[in-house]
Amino acid sequence: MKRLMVLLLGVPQLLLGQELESEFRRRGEVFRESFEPLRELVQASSVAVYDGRRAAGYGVVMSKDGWVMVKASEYELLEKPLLRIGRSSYAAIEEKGRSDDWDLVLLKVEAEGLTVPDWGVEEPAYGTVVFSNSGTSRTRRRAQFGVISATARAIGGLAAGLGFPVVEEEGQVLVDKLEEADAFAELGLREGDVLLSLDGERVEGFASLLELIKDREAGEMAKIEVERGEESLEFEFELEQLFTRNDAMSGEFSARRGNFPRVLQHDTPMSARTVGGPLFDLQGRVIGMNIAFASREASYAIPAKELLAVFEELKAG
Amino acid sequence: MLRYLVAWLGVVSGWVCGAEERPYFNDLKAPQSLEDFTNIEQALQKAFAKVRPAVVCLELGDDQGSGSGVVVSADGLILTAAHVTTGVKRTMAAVFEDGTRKTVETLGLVADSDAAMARIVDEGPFPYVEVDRENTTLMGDWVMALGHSGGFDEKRGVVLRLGRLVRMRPQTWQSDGTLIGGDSGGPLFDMSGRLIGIHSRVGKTKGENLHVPMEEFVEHWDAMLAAEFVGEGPFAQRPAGFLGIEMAAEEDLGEGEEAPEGVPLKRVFEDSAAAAAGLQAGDVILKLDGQPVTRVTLVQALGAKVEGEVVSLLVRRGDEMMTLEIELGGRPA
Repeated sequence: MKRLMVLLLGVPQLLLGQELESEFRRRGEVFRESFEPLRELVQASSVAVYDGRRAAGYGVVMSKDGWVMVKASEYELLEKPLLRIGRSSYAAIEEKGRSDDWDLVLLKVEAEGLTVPDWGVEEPAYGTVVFSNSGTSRTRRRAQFGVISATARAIGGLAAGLGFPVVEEEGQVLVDKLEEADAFAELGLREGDVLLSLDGERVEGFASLLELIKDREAGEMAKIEVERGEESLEFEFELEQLFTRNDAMSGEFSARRGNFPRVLQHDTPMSARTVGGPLFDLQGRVIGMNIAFASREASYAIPAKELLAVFEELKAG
Repeated sequence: MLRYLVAWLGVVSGWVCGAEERPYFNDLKAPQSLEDFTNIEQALQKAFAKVRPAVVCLELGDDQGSGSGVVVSADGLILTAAHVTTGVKRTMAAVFEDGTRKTVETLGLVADSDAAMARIVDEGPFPYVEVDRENTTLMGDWVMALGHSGGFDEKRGVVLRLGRLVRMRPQTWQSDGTLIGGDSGGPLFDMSGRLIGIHSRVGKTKGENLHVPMEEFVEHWDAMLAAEFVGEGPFAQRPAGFLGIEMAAEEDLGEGEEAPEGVPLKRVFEDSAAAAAGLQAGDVILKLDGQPVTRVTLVQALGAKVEGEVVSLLVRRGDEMMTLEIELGGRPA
């Protein structure tokens, strides 16, 4: 109504400093009504994963008779996995196969007559409108929209960091303060230890350390040598993901968001807790499975074509 | 009564905006059906194809990170953010989506709103987009954000985001298309592919994505084209001013001997502001902007000056006294 008045008056300046009411923003309630038919598809073909009573992401219904695909790295952490499909819940779950490459686990529950969506295996173009799971209640799944925002491609490993804090003093790199419960403190590293080398390469100042770690990937093993007083000690550990400034803007991103053979990228603002479900296009076809909320602007989905191939492969054993 | 209002709206909006230009879904409070989404999708894909080739990644060099920008003329004029160019007459690289790299010189900027201009030094023509100089965008309009999020990635390509304009303030618009580091300076388009803003910064939530509206660029267009540094921050700081002199070493003074008045110069650097103004080795600076100086106070006073600032020096050369007005230069590389 406000905009209508403004147009009538012909004074656009009146808009300055005004805001669009939240129900009309992309996550607003009024918006959701417009894609109710797709929400129903999302509801029917997505699997809500629970750990006991706690919501723990989503999965995709792969067949009428209870084959289900979920995100492996998060599913394996669950203590009491429970799946809800439609209005039914399933606690008797068989793990039938796993793909580390795709971070997928194939599950089987005793079910029949589940809704299986149409698959869209053609590569979606830039700008294709897509729908994904948003939040969920026990019986109702919400949906949210986005668009395909980049070229489908492989995602490599993530930049690595040491995982413990360091400071530079007089040209030497020293271990900085560690919390008592820090994994590196438990490993035996102490504040003030002087870092001598990383995988046999000498560390001489912060710049040389940066140079050594620049091309390493998170998850690789690393060996460091440190000096403590007269002693020289060695530690071996897994390199962690470098936490970047962009990560600080991204909220709750997925723990595993690198090393995928191929993904679609879309701009749906998800979180680690909303991935795992199907990715729909406007025609109601599943074009992928959301596999990672990577960063503020980027969610990744395994393309339907690859998802179906992994399904066949895992199902065949 | 409502019927009359609606009729009026039809006439007025047709007259103000040009009926064919403004997509109908901008005037819906929210899409009402999947068909509306289909129309949004079609408009988005058409506009995206049109503007995509003109979007560039701006690489600052020496691992200093990158931002984005967009070409707005065939000869390579670029609009971007002030916190990306950081200053005038600096050199950086523009990378087009296909990996083509061009050398860019930064022009002027508006430090308090985050607007900036740059130019590709290499010869064109380049793909470019149309600037919405008429400021036709309204609250709630659908918008398309592009940029090289997190830096250039040839396999990924430029990153597209869809959103709505949710807040409009004089120097800042907010949309709910999600931006991240590396998008800074990138373009915000309306659904016809006209440039309406440049990405500037984000807030805490994913819905807070801020842009500098085109109006701000249009207002300062000539100043930016003339490579002027407009405003006082916070998005760019004026570089330190540099006079280009070396003071003579302090001599040991005998007992009871008074320090000589002023600051004698040992050397004047070539191509510096001091040399251009005619200062010579052996000159003695007596006053800066009317204040008598010693070595310490001269260093302090000059240290607080920025590039482009004009200082007045009272100088003694032999028996001659002269006053020089000198525009401070930038720090030499």
